[in-house]
Amino acid sequence: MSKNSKTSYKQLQAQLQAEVEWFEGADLDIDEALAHYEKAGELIAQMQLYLSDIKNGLIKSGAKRNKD
Amino acid sequence: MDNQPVLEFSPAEFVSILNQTLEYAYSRVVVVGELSSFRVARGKWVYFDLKDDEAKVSFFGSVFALPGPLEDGMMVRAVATPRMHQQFGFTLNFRQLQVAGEGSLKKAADLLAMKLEKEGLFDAARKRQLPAYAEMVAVVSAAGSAAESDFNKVALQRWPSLKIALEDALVQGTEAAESIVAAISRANQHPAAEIIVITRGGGSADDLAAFNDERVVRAIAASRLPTVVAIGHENDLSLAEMVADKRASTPTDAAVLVAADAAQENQLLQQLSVGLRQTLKSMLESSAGAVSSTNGLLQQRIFGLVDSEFNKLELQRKVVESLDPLRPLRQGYGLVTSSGKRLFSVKNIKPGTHIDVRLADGTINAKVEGVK
Repeated sequence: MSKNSKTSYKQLQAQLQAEVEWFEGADLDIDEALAHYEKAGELIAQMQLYLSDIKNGLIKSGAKRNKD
Repeated sequence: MDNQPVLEFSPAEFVSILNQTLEYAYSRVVVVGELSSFRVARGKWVYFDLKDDEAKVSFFGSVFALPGPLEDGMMVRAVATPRMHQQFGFTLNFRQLQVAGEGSLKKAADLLAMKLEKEGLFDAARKRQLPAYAEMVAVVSAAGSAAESDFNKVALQRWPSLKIALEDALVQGTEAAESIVAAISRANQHPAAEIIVITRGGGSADDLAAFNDERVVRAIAASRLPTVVAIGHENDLSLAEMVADKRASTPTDAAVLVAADAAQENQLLQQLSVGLRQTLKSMLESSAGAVSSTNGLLQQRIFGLVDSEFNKLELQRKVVESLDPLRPLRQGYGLVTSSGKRLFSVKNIKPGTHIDVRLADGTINAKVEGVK
């Protein structure tokens, strides 16, 4: 599972969506835009890690069952 | 002779002294002869004569001492006490009767068989099953006889933990029937006994007469416990064998009927055990295969979902990348502001106005010299 087990994948997805939607507003401040951009990047990295953890967990449990 | 004193008696005195003399000299006699004038009075008292070519004597007794139905002409062995009756004269009071001679025995057995057949005593429906794994049997036989020894030897070889309770009985002779009946009664009182085996070795028709005795046959029919009768002969079934729940040809055969074969049972159990293990193993393998297959399918499904999410995330990553506010600046564009406000047009910009130009790596503070 993800290291940040308190936040579900669905919650991360919602947060990312909110960050992307922020850019749809008018008269954006570049510094704020940079902050939102960086936040969106962090969320994507977190979500990638989350999915990788799931995949690795499945591979490990499959290998253990085959060994048993 | 003439000098001897002549005793004088009243009839009653004479009868009394004669009975005392008979009691002293012949308290118990056995007489064998041909039955004649046989009759039963009031269903209770039996009268008959036993005769030969030269003489006949009268007998009196109870129906309860009869070995079965009798007919005139049969040879009979009577155990009796001689008595002179005050009113009816001389008679022999019989205590035991036994049919004697092969022909008479056969005739007596046939008569009894017909009687018992009508009562349904030989019906197949009356036959009971023997317990498959008896732990205790009661054996009615003569103690120390070959029959007892053969039975014990084979039964214990087959089922070593079998308990055998011997009920000793006379198996031939005038007292055999009563002895066998008493032994069957005792055997039925064993609380742990599960089967009664009545057995003896072969012999002549006279030797085996007790096994055609009505009292013995009825005792077997009325037995609380299932019965096996084994007489060591093959021909001319006795009535005891016909009425028993099971018949065995010899004492050894009775042991085979009564005692399960432990070695054979053990072999069967081993075969069953191997079969069960194989069945269980194949069930487990089949279940494990099904679980593994289901697990594989589930894993595949989750892998598919994760990959699909990775793809979606990659698209979102590209969208976010396109939103990078520094990207145009890195390409050489600048963000121009004046007094903190972004400038989108040269209109209203006059020479001398202070402006800030933000580039990818910093900001230029400048002054407008001219507007084109």
